[in-house]
Amino acid sequence: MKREPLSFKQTVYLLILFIIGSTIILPVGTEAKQDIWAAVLLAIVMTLPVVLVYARILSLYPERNLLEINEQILGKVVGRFINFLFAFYAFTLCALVLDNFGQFINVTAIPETPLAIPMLILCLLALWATKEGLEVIARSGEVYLPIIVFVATFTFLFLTPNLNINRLQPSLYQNSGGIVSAALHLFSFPFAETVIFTIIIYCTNKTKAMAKVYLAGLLIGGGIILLSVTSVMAVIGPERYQASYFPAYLAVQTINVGDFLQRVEVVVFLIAIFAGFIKISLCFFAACKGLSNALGCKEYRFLTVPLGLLEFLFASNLFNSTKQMAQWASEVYLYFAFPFQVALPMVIWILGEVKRRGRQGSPEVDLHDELR
Amino acid sequence: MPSFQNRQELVNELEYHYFIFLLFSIFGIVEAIQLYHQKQRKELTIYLFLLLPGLVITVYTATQVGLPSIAEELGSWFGWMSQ
Repeated sequence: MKREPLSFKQTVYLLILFIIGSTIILPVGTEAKQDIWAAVLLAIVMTLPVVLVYARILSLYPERNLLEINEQILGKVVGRFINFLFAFYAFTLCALVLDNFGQFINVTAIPETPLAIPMLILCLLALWATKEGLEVIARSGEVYLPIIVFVATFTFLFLTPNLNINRLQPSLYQNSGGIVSAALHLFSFPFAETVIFTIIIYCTNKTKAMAKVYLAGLLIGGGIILLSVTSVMAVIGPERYQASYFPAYLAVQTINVGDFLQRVEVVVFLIAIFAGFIKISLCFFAACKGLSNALGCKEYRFLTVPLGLLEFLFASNLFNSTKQMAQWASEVYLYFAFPFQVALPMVIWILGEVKRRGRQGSPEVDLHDELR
Repeated sequence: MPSFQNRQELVNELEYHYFIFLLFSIFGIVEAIQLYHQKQRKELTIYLFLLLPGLVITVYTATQVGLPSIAEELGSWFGWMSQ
């Protein structure tokens, strides 16, 4: 399979955009109410060991991605079956994000247009980006992230007069259950979704680089999420945050600087779509790559059109309403994602360590020679 | 799938499903011919195996009104979501 190397900067940028993705538009961690900042911090702490496991898996087998590592560790048949499961997860995640953005665009901007139209446009863009390859998606990320950071900073500055610190109080008062529950939801969406990156990227010879990439992406992306949700909560308060499907949009609607700077919600709209495009493209890329590996094909690009059509159909028939989408995200997603985000990577990591140590014990076999 | 209030809504729904069907059919035919000429038979088989059901589902969803969503259907099987 043709390698598409990414630089450290490009990978970290992609990770940040992936984490920001749909998180900035959706009401995440609603159970924590005014203590949402604590839930985000707890979720980051919970994700740290998991992303280190992801990084370790990739470091164990340099120059290989998770799909190739699975085949190496578990054998061809079981490995490809596991790869198929990961491809299914990436496919489902792509459909969910596509649906999130379709609903967001439909509800906030073009309510008269059928929901499927924005979804189709996003799907075609992701299909095109995947056909062009990972480098093109990474370069798009390099262009988008500085714009997003610049615009988000100004939006935050304009939002500061509306911040009401009283809305974040009482702080940590008889709400530990809510914080833990919100942290678990934040762990599964968006932080541990970065498992998708193990399919996309591979480790170069520097074993510590992978951990640095993951930690940098998680901490910067997590920091942005922390700042974003806390300021949204401080602007609209826990009740409206919980009741709204797109709270960030609602918060930015309150910006009014001297009656001449208003309706800047279009900015949030653009940020969300940039980040969402990257997340959808990466998930779709991972789904195509996973499926091509599971079917024993060397190239993944030929799968983009048929899988793109199935992706669109799956996303457009996934939920009937925004309420159903929110309900699914809060009640089902955590349990659905757990095997792919934690259980399978843990099993692969343990088997990888055991196999590696077994090989290092026998003097005849050099692991790196065998890998090449 | 939404239920339609009037005939115009149904026509709109049919129109964009027709557009999607046409779009992916054209893409599909072009790429299938390309794969055939490159003698990538395995890839061509997989390609058609994935594309044709997609096109059939597009036609099916266009002609059906009030289909339950996938989440609803799975929810009723596994008792996931509170209705």
